[in-house]
Amino acid sequence: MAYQLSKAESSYTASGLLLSQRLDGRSLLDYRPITVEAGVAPTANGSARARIGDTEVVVAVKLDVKKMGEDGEGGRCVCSVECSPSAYPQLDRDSLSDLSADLSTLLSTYLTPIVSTPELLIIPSQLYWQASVDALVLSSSGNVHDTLFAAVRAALWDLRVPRTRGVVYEVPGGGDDVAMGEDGGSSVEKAGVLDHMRGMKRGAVDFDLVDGADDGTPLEGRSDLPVCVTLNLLSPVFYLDATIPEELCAPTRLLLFIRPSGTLCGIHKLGEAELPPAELKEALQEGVRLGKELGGAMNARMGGMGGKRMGPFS
Amino acid sequence: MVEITIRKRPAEEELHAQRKFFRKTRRGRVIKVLRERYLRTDIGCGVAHCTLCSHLPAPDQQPALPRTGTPHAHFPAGHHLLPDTNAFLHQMDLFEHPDFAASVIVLQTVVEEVRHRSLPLWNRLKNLVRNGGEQGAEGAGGAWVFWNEFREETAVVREEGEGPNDLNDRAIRNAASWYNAHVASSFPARASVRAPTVVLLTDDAASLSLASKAQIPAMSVRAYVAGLPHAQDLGDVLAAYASTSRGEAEEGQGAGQSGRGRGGGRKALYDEYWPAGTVEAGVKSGRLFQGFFNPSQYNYLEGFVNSQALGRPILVIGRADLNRAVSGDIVAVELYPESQWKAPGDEVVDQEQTLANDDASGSEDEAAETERRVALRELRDARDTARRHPLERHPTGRVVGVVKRNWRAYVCHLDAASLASSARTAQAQQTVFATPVAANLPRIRLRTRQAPQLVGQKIVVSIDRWDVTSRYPEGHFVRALGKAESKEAEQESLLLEYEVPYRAFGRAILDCLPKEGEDWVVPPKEAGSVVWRDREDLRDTIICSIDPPGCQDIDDALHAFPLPNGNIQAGVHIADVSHFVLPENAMDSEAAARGTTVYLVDKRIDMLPSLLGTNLCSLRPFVERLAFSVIWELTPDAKIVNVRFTKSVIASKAAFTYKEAQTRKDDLKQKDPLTESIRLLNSLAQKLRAGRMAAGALNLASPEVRIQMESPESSDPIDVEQKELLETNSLVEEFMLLANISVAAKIQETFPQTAVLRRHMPPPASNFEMLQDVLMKRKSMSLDISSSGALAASLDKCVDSAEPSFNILVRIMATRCMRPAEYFCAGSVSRETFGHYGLASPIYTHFTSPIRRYADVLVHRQLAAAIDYTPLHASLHSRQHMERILNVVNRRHRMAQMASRASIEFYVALSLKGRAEREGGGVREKAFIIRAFRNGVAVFVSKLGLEGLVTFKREISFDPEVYSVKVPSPTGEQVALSVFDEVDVEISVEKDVNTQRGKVKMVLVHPIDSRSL
Repeated sequence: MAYQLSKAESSYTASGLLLSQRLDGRSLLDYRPITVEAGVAPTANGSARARIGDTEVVVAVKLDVKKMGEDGEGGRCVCSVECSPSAYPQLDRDSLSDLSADLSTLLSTYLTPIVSTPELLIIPSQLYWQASVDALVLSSSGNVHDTLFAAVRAALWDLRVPRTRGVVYEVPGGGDDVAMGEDGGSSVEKAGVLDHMRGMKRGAVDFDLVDGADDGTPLEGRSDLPVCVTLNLLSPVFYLDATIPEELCAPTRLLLFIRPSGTLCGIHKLGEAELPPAELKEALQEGVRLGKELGGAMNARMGGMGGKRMGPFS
Repeated sequence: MVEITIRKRPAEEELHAQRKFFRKTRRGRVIKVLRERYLRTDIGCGVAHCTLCSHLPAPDQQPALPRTGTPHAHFPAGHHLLPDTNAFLHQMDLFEHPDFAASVIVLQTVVEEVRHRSLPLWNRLKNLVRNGGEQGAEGAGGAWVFWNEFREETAVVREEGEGPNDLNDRAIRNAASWYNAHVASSFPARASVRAPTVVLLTDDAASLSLASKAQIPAMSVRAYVAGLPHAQDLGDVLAAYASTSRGEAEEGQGAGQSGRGRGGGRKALYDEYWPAGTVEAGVKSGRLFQGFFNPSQYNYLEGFVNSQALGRPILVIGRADLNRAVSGDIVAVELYPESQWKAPGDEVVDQEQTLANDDASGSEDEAAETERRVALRELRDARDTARRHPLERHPTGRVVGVVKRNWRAYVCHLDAASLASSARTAQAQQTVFATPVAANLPRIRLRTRQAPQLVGQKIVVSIDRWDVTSRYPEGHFVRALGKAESKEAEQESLLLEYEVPYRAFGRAILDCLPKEGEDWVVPPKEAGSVVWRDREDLRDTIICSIDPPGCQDIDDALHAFPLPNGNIQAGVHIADVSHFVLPENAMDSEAAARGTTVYLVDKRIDMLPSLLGTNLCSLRPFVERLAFSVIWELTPDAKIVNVRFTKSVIASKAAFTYKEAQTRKDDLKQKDPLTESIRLLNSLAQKLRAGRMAAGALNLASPEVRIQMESPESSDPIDVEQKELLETNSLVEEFMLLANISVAAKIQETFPQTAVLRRHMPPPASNFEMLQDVLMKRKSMSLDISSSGALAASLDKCVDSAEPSFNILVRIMATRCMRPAEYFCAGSVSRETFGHYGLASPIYTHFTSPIRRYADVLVHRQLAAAIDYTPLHASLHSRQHMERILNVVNRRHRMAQMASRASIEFYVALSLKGRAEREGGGVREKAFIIRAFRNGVAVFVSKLGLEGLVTFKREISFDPEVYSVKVPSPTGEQVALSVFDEVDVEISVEKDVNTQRGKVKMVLVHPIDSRSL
């Protein structure tokens, strides 16, 4: 990044961190105030705004009906992150778009397996809901990853999949001459998002909305969606939620994707420095613990507030 | 000044204000729609002199509901009625009944739900409200739309898991409850007058019980009607509808009881329809076929479904396979395997004869009919498969579902035989049959108290439902039109049957006319006059009009004179209707909805108010009129040198009938310029015609007869005559064609997307298969249908020297193989399909009759824009809009043709009756056989333009290969009757004993007398 830190500033910040002293008085594993607000874009299927410190990200998830490709597969999730120039006034246009592209790739790498749930199938092997996740970084004061994924998580939490019903052609009374080629007059299929397993029998040719006025169903596993915890490693210490100068002091940063149930489902390393295994182990253990805590807190708040709005918590 | 305050809504209100829902588009995408709603407290209740609402602003709207409500037996203090959606959907006839006088509150929720469910009913509801508004001012009844979803107290928000129906029902109950409180509190507590009750009208059991829990006065429709004044009459128009759509409701009110619930023990006569989802899926997956159902003309147990997907009509045979489809319904058909495909029957099956003995009150003694049919059917099936010409076999299928019912109100006769003999005079309610006038509709079972009075009348009946256990659909009586065969009843029934809008023009429409009315004249020519702007002054040109006798709406006039350079200037002047009918005003929308003027023998239903049609726009002689002129320079060989279009002012010098013009032209002594110009026009027309014929235009014939009336008042036709064609007919026709073609080219060039054109698609070869085959087999003649020119040439060769009218017959039959011409929007179809087959013109439109055709009005506007006279109205730039209008116009046009044909038929029948009485016995006429059946022949009487069936009761031998039947004569030998044979028929009009319906009956008298057969 083109953001430059003077040597003096850098060493001052770093030595502070090594002594567990941060400029804003937090301890190493403290977050700045986190605010998450869901449902900010009423026309999207799911949306949220997250703010950590002064870093702010808005995410909207749109669902579109898509046909499956020849192989019955298709990209289920299209991610794009845009960084507003006002968030990074120091970057020129090219580096800004590089940054956006980096974040988009990161987002889609970690999101695709999460969003590829069978719930998004409308008609198996034919139609599915394609989720387009669009994020906009409004302002940045460090730890954009955690903020981004917090916003994405809240948007997915807020996401409602419209209820659909497969339209099945099936001859009543198990008619024998027309049902040829059908797998033998199967029972009436009401293939919807939830009973997609029965819908696997094929036969549905189109779908209908069950009830247009209905919001739809939330994703089934939404309370176990992972959170991202960024550990900034400055051997031998590590710290959370770094501000911009603090980020620049950390030679290695680890992005950990942790489900509230405690599963570590992804690690991404930023920075070129080596990582001693012992240190990694400790960092991971601590990271998982922190992730569980953060995820649990988010779930509690989201559930408690009816999914609408969350005040600051840490 | 009205003060406008906009306040930012607090976030908590968002829930009330926003409505989100998903919508699936036709392309299969799902869109999330978000609506904002602003709730207010200043929406009036619509009750006159309401103390709480009187201060509210109500622009241009007077409260429509009387303050003390309307009388009802259960509510001594008066009541207002608040019906739910289903009440309107099922019982619209009740609300429209002239004796129905309750004050009705129509909720916005209800209006929107009705609109969502049925557009025609929504339109009727709109009319009801409009008329109700006027009525209310006079003190009786009245109707008021209450915008409940915008008023803070009555707006409801969807609760978690609540379906749309439940939500709407709750909104309606909410509004009912609010209204009651509101009306009550608007009356001072100690006043002598008590506040009227607001009654929720619903047939939904769940809603009734919820309402009573919430202490909202609510009643079912039947219970409510029982307490009204005129309950007897109103009870009849109630639909025979059992409320099932929103949960089973059973209102224990006497009358309905016996009609209901009998479905349980009865045997199902029809298969249940497949679930809507399955049908939809089947159609989408291409395994079912969807299309309009058209019953066969000759056999009520047979019909066709025109499927786009299959390209050929699908044959459906037999009551079970037809499965309750009614003419005009959109049905889904499942095909049988190809081995079971059949050909259309070759037998005439008449519903009335076959089902004569049915009992209406439904003691299910209908087995006899069924058995007979089954026996016949099997016999025929066997024959079918055995020796069917494979060519004639049609894809055959059965109806498995109805996508959309297109039931409307049908004009019927009551079947006197179905009346219980004991009850012929009694006032008791009884079940009777009504036989629709249109032959291909099933009879309708209905319950009425007025049966004895209705016998012998034309009545309007609506179908309500058709259960699997019922052989016939069930309906209800709407109103009586009058005595059968009385002119008025027949006329109105015709208009109803062909859905011709015939209401008088409303106030809003008449307000669009010039204020001067009859006294309107073209203003004097002076600089700066709006009317004269860009108008050419043709007042001195010698212009005349030629029309049929008695024509009042003269929309075209002509002129011609030689130019100094040897060429000829010819002009066609068309009434400038678009000067008076401005786009998108009330008169324009009405004209667009009417589409065309409908000509019945004794009545004309105008498209435009008669002030315009017969006066201001009519190009009467000796007065100045505004016109739109097409002026050509033609060579003496009738080649166009140039053409120009201009708005003009003309003063016609004479209005001729065809005959007058003809005599004048033929009278060589007359040398005045007017006569000369007719001669000039005539010589050009002949050349134009020759050119058109050479290009391959068809000279088709359709039987046209004229009803000769003694005087317009007596209206008893004295005779029927065929239309005479004079040279001058063709003169006018040629110039109109020329004008239309020139205009078509001009507007197409200027507006390639939205130009209104008319085309005639070439007929598909399959249409001619049968005619070609008959011609070949019977007369060894062939038809070349490869192009219109070839067809015209081969038609010319179909001449039988022994039978001079044979050629005309062939032409008539060829005409029937044609497709109808249609209006279309230039941008909607590809350029290659613009052509007009019959006229052999690459492009065509209608420009010349704007008084009586709406398409012409559109063309006038486009042409005016094309010559930069006026800018084109925005709506005429939108292709979707134009397509919508043209669809209506096409349909109206078709209906109008059928209506006038039916009207002629009625008068032909009347005149036959008169002749038969004068001459004693039946009327004998020459006729041609046009089709042979297993038990009869169809004949065509060209002199009367009448088609009829001659059926033989005795078994005859039928040979479908050579289109011929052999009939044993009394002397023992076999007489062959084949298609194209000329026979003598005796025509009589006989009345059906039971329904009093007049029917033309034909019997053969030569070469064999069929009366004995």
